[in-house]
Amino acid sequence: MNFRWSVDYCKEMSGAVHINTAELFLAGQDGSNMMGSPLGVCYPTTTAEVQDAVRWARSKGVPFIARGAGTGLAGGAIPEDGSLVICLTKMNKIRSIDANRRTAWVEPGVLNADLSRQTSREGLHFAPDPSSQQSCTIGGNVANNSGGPHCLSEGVTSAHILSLEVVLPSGETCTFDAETSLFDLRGAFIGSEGMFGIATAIEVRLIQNPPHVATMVVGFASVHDGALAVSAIIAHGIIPSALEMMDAPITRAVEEYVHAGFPLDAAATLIVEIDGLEYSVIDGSRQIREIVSLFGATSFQVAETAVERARIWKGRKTAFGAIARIQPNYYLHDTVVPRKKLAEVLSQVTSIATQEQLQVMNVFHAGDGNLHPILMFDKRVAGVMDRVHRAGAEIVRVSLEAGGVLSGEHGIGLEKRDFMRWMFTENDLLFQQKLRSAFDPDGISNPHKVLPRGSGCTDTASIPPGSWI
Amino acid sequence: MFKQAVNFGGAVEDLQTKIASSDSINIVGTNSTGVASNENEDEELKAPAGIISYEPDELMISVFAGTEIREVNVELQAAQQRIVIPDWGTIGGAVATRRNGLRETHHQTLPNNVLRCTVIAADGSLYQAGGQVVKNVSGFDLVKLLVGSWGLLGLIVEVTMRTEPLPQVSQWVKSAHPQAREQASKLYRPAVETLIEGVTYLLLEGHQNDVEQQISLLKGFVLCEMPSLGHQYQYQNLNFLSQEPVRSIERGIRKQFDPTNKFNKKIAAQRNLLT
Repeated sequence: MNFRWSVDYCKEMSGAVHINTAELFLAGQDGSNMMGSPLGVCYPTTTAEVQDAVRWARSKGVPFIARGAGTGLAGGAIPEDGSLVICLTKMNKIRSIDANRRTAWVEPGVLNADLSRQTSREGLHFAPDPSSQQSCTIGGNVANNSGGPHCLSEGVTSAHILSLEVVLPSGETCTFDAETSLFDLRGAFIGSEGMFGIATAIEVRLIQNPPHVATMVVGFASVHDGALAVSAIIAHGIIPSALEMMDAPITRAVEEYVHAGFPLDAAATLIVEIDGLEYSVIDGSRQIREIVSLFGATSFQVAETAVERARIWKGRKTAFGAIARIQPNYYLHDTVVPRKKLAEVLSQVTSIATQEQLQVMNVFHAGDGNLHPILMFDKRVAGVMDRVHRAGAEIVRVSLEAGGVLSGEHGIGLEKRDFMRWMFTENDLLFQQKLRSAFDPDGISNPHKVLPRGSGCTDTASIPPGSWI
Repeated sequence: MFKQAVNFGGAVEDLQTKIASSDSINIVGTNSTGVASNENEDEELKAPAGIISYEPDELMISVFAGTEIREVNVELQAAQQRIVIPDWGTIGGAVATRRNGLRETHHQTLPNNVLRCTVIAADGSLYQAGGQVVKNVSGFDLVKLLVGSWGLLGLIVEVTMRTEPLPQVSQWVKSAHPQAREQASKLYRPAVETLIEGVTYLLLEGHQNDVEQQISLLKGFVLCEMPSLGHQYQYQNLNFLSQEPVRSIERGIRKQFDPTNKFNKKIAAQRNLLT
């Protein structure tokens, strides 16, 4: 890319666009292991400034990409070479909280965990709770339709967003909500990975904090027994608020790191949480205890205090940090399979890792069949990345063969874009492309993500020379 | 090799052929909304009916969109389960008109419970959105677009939905007192909270002791039956006000999905979506 060209462009934006090497380096990355070379990065603080940035990019034929905290794992926030990164982390105000209606208007840069902290005095919280919730933004949650352990009973981000103020790729602003459009443009926008425009304000639904919570930690002698117990709990008509599984290697790693009291002798550990009114929690816990016993539970503990409960969740949510004690690098996968296929697919995942001589650990949202196999490696070892990618593709393949889907909560981004044809027909993809075209006819908002090349006719315009894709 | 199987048999293939060769199609279910009534010579087409698969343990059911909801409910009740849609019309009709019924106030409304749709497009081809799992962010969310699309984006022939276990107890209460809503705010997440003609209705569900305890917190409420859904039958004006960029996207979507204005012209005209 022509450096002079980029400097001239950025001067036109009166210093609003930063082009120093350090900032461009940071803006070129996200939570994936991919990288792009943006033209510049700007940090708007108002909707009008986002509009200015989009209009400027548009006038120059430069693609743009919205960015939050950059914690996404599928490369959705990796900028196209030569694009403008519109970083929304300075739009981080909670504009209003309506405790009576149990809603809040927030800017996209508000951190997920901060929102729940700010609303806790009203006894309310925002339900989606991805493991990255201490650092990921609500805007990013909207872009990826993020999940988290407690989405089992509460639903993913889309179920908790009432309205969106959006700057469209045309530079116009509008609001998407349930009342003022015929088609559910709000629903279509959520999970569009920044390809339909930029959300500049978000009305979220807040839910009451539960009066009673029981968090149970259950050990099993095999992953198979644990997986069967998961299916049995749901089949019994109990929808816990969270139903997570950890296998023995990750449990050991986490326990050494957090000391949450997980059973070190278990081959699989379930974290089962049930919340709500008093008797439903008491009765639900009793039923869960009976079911897991039938499936050979080897240990059963209930957190007695809020501190114990917090420690269990800290253990679960910092699992990825614990991996650093074992291998310097890891690759976290995300597929979904029907619950009844959990045991079978987990066994296939183990075989795949063995075949490729990789260590694998599993810590995942078992209740909704959302697998997160973690392949661990040292990328300094020659040829290891080939094995990691082969194993990853194979995990995707066995998940789809089991009737599953490509992603449960991380999204497609660049990582799984070329797997889309494994799940969808050309016609399915064509209609996804049609939707994209209605929002962004010129394909300038985060181009070349999600849809594999050749599935539509846009996303080819206005791409500067030297594009990496 | 791994693509979702699209093989729904002869009835769907016949519809595909008819749609491919027709210029003007009116999609009907039981016409319970009154919106889609046929006033001209359009060909009237209805999705096939019947349950395709029901797996109570997976909390999921797949049906042909022309299946009547009451028929589905018979199956579900036998397994102590239910779906979120009120008990009238067809599944496809409820999905196409985003009919939540009284459970609108609860987050588990219809859009969040539809997992997959199979649709016949204007050219007679089939496209599928979503998947048969409860959590899915694989590609753009066409399912959300189809729920409430009023037949303007194609004929929905198949729907996969979440089912949910029946609660142990389900009790409606009501109050016409002006402060009834303040009373309701003392409760922990009633399944439904709705105001109909000045009367606040609450649906309390769950463990019997919890429901009784919640009712004891309320002053001035009386037990009642489910309120009538009669108000839902009112004529729906689809030409409500929208911002111009919203209109423009709606027109763009219709043009992309149905470039020759084949489906539901009357509804498209009402919304100014004829292109």
